[in-house]
Amino acid sequence: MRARHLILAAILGGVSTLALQPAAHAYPQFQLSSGSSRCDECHYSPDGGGLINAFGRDYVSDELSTFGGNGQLLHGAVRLPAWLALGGELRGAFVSENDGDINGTTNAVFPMQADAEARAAYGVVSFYGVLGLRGQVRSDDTIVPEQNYQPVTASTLVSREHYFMLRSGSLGGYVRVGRFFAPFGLRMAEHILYVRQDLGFGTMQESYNLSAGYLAEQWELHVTAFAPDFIRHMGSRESGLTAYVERRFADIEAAALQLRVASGPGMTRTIVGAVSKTWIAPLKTLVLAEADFVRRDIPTISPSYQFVGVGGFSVLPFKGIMATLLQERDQVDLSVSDATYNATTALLSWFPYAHCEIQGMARLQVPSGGQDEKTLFVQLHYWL
Amino acid sequence: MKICLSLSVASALAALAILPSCGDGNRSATWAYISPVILQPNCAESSCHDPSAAVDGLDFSTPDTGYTSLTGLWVWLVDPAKDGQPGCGHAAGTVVCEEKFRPLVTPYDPSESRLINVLRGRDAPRMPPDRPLDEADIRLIETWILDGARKDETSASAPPDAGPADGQSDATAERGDAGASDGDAADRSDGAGDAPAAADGAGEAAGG
Repeated sequence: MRARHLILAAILGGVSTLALQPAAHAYPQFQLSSGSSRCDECHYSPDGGGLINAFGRDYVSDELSTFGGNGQLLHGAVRLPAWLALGGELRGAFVSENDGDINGTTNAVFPMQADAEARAAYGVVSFYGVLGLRGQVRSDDTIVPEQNYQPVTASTLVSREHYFMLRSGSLGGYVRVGRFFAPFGLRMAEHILYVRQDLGFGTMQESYNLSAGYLAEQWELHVTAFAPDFIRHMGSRESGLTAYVERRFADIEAAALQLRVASGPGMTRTIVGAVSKTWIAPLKTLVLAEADFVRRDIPTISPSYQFVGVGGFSVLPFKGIMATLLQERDQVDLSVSDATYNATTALLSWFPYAHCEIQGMARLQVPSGGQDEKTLFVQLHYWL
Repeated sequence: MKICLSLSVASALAALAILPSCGDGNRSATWAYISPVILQPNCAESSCHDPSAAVDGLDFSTPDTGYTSLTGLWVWLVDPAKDGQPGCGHAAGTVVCEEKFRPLVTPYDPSESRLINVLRGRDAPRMPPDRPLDEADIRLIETWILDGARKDETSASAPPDAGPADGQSDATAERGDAGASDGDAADRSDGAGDAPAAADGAGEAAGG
C-alpha cells in the first residue's frame, strides 16, 4: 500500500510541477518586441502580468493573433463600465517526463489552470483579485500524518493575487498592498525556471507585500517589503525586501538591477542580480538574460554563495508565432565544482486567434553527475 | 553601446555557464545547511512537500518540519485488526491507530535510508520527480546520514531513533524529540486528530 502511495506520489508529483501556472506571470518577451517598452502599457499591474487592459486587448486583436479576432472580453460580446474589468484563464496540458525512473516515462493529460480575474477601480484606488481552482495532486489520505498535516480539500480554492492599489495614472508613483509576486527578475511564465524556483518565485509562492514604485517613460523603480502567506501557509516562508530598478534606452533596450534580502527558516539570503532585454528589430529577435548571485547566511556555518542565471532569445518571425530558446545555470554552491544544474528549454507559442494560444515546450535538465530529465509539454490556453 | 550592455550580460551568463566553479570546498554536511540549501528549494514546492500539500505528510519547508518528516512523523493508520488496543480508536466506521511513520533516514547507514533510495531512484520512484538532484548534493546528504543524521552539531544532540527498518511502525517509540516544533505544524495536527478525516481515505486502505 505504501509503495503504491509512493508511486502515485511520484507520478502526480511530476505532473504537478507543471500543473500550476500562475496567472500573475505573462510574457516578458512582449516588452520591447511589441512596440511597448513598459509592461503596464498592456497590463493593469504596474510590473505586468495578469489581467490585460483595453490597450492590451486591442493589441491582442490587431497585432498578436495570426488570424485576428476580437480581444475584448468574451470576444466583444459584453461591454463593461470603465471602472470594472473581468477576465479569466483556462489551461489544459499534456506532459511527458522521463528521468530514468523505475516506472518509466510519465505521460499525463491534466487540467492546469482555471482562474477568474477581476479589477474594480474607484478614482485612484483599485482592487485586483484572482480566484481559481488549485490543481489537487493527492487522493484522499490513506496515511494521515499528525504533524505537517494539510487536508486534501483545504487548499483547493485559492487566490494567487489580491491587492489594493493607489495609483493616479500610468506614469508616476503607486502604492499597493496585498498578495502578489514582488517585481523581480525576468518574470517568465515558466515557473520551472531556476531563477523562479530557486529564488522564491515558484508556484504559489506569492507573498503578502507592501510595495511602492515609480514609473517614468524611460525608467521604473519598485520597492517591496514582503512577508509569507499568513492565511493559508502556502509557498515561501521568507520575509524581507526587494528592489528592482529598470532603465530603458530608445525602446529597444531594457536593463535592470535588483536586490532581494530574505530571511526565512534557517537561512537569510541576499540576492543581487541583473536583468536585460534587447530587441534586435532586423532579426525580429529579443535577447534576454537574468543573472543572480546569492549569499546565504546560515547560523553556525560560514556564508555560502550560489549563482542562478538564464539567458536566451525569442524570435517573433510571423504574426502570432513566438519561439524562445533558453539556457539556464544553477550553481548551488560556488565552492563546489559539481553541485550544478544546467537546463535547455525550447518554447514555441502560437496565438492563432484572439484569446487562444497553443504552446509546446521541450526541456532538458542536466544535474551534474546526476540523472538527466527530459520533458515534453503541450498546453492549450484560452483566456476571456 | 546600448545593445552591448544587454549582450554583455548575456555573454557573462554564457561564460559562467561553461566556466568551472571555484573549487572543491568542503560543504557543511549538517542539517542546518542541507535543509535550506538542498531540500527546501527542491522538495518544498506547493504541490509536493510544502505546508499547503505536504504529500504523505512530508513538509520540507523548514528545518524543523523537514527533520520531523524524515525522522519522527506520527500518523493515523487504518488497522481494524488492532481494535481495542492502546493508541487505537474508532473513526468513521473503521479503526485507526496512532503509529510512528517509518523513518526515511537510517542514521549511519545511507544505503538503508529510504531518502537516499528515492533521491537515486534506486528501487524506488525518483524524487524530486521533476528535478533529479546533482550527485554532489546527494553525496552530501549521504555524508550527513553517515555522521548520524543529527539535527544539529552539538555533542549533546543524539541521532534520531532509527526505528524498524522493515517499514513497520514503532508504536512504542518515544514521542517528542523530533516532533514538530513550530506552531503551524501544531495547528495542522488538529486536523489530523479529526478521526473522520483519517478514516475516509483510510477505509480504502483497509479495503485494499
